[in-house]
Amino acid sequence: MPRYVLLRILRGFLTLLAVVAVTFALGRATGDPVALLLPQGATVEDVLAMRARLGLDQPMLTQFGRYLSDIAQGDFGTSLVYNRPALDLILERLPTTLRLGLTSFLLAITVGVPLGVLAATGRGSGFDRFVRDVSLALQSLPSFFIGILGILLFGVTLRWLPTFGDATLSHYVLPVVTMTLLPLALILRLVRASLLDVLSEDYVRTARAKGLHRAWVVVRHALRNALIPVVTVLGLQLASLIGGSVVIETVFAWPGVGSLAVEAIAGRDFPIVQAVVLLSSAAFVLINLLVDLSYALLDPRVEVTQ
Amino acid sequence: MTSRALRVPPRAVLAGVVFLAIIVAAVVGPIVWSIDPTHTRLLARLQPPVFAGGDWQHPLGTDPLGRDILSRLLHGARASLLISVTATLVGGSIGTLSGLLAGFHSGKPIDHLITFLVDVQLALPFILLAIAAALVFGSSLPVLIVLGALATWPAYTRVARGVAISLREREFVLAARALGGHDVHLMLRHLLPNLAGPIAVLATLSLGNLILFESALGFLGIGIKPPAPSWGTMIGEGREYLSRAWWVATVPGMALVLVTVSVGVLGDTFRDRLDVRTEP
Repeated sequence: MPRYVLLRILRGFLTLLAVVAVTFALGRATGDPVALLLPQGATVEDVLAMRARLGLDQPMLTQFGRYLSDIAQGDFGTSLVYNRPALDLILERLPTTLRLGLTSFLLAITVGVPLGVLAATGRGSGFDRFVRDVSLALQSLPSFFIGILGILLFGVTLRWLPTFGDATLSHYVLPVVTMTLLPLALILRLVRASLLDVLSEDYVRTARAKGLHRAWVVVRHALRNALIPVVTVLGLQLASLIGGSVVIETVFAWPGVGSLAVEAIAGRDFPIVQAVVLLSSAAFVLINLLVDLSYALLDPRVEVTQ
Repeated sequence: MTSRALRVPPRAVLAGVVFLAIIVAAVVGPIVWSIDPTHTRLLARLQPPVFAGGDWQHPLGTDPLGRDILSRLLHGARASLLISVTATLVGGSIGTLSGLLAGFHSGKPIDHLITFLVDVQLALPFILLAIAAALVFGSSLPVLIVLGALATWPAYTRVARGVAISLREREFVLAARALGGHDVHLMLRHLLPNLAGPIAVLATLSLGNLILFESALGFLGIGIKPPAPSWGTMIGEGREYLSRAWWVATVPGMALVLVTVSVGVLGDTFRDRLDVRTEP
C-alpha cells in the first residue's frame, strides 16, 4: 500500500481517538460526572456504584482507558430516561434519519448538478444570474424558518400536506424539500464555479477545436474533471448528515437521531447526547477517510494534502 | 477597470443599508421603545400586529404570554449581534493566527499539530456539541460565544495557512528576513497584511452563519436563557401557535431572514470584488 494511504488512515485513526477524548472530557468537565450519568434522585448506592464503575479515584488516564474499552465493546453508556443502552436507542432511530437525509441528499444532487452545468454553460445569461441569486439566498436562509413557513402555508393554510411525523409518503415532502435547499445551493454554486474553471483549460479548447459538439465536450471532457471538487463537498455533506438533521427533525417532529438528541435536553440525558456526538463524529471521520482514499485510488496524482 | 472596481451593485447597497438599519435598531431600539421585553400580560396575549388588525400599543403584536414582540425583537437583535460579532472576533483571531503560524512553519510539527486540531474540530458536529455543552455547562452568553468561535476558527486557519504558504518564499518576505527580520515580525508585519482581504470576506460570511447558528440554538431551546429574548427562541415558541397566531413565529423569522440575507449578499459582493476563494 502506498505510503500516503497508510498516513491518511493513521491520521483518520488519530482524529477518531481525539474525538473520543473530547466526548470523554465533556463528561468530566463539571468535576462530578456521576451527576451527569445518573438520573436525578438516584440512591446513594447507585452513586457509589457508578463512582466505583468509573473508577473516579483512579488516574484520569486509567478512566479514559476504561471509557475506550467500553466503547470498543459497544457500550456507549446508558440512557437516563429510557434506562436502555444509548447505542440501541440510536440504532433504532438511525434508519428514520437516513431515509430523510439520503432522500434530500440525492434530490440535491439530481437537481443541483444539471442546474449548475446549465448556469455555467450559459454564463452571464439571465438564467445564470437567476440561479446564482436564488442559491445565494438559499445559502443565507435559516432552514428551520423555511420549514416553519412551509408548515404555515402547506399545512395550516392550504391543508395539503401533513406537518409532523413520518407515517406516510406525503409526510416526506416538507422535510425533504426543506432539508434539500442548503445542499442544493452549495452543489449548484460549486458545480458552476468548478465547471467554469475547467472550461477554460487547454484540453477543452482542443476538444472544441477538433470540431466536437459543445454539449459533448462539456459532458465528456469538462464535467468529469469539474466534478472532483464537488465530490469532496458531497462527502462532507454526507458525513455531516446526522448533525445537520437535528434542526429539521425538530421542526417536523421527525422521529430520528436528531430529535433523540434534542429530546435528551429536556430529560438531561447526557449519555445519549455523548453517544450521538461520538457516533456522528466517527461517521464524519470515516466517510471523509473513504472519500480521500477513493481519490488516491482513482487519481494516481493525488497525495495526502498537507 | 477602475470604474468597474468602484461600482457597487445596487443590491449590495440595499443589503448594506438594511444591515446598518438593524445594527442601529439593536443599539438604539431598546432605548427608544422602552417596553420591558420580559413583561407578561396574560390579558393581552396573542394580539395581532398593526398590519393584521392590531393596535399601536403593540405594533408587532404580542406572544402567548402577552409580551411585546417589537421589544423582544429589538432586545433579541442585541443578543444575537453581541454573540455573533464577538464569536467572529474570537474565532477569526484564533483561526488567522494559528493558520499563519502553521503556514509559516509548514511541514514542521507545529503545522501538523494545528492541521490535526482543525481536523478534530471539523469532525465534531456543531449543533450536537452545543447540545452537549448546554447539558454540561448550561447555556449562557460566554458558552454560546465559545461555541461560535469553535465552530468558525478552522475556516480561517485553512485560508490563512494557504496564503502564508504561497507567500512565505516571495521576495518581499525573503528580503525582510535577509534584513534580519524575526519570524514573528515576518508573520505579523509582512504576511498578515496580505491576509486582510480573504479574512474580511470570511468574517462577513461567517458572521451570517453565526447569526443562523445562534438562532438555531435558540430554536432548539439551548440559546440564551429564557425569558431573555432571542429570535430563535421566539420562532421556536411561535411554532406551537402557527394556526392561531402566525405572527409569533413569522415576525422574528422575517427579521432573521432580512439580516442573514443582507449579510450573505454583502459577503458575496465582497468575495467577488476581492476574487477570494472560500470554498474548496
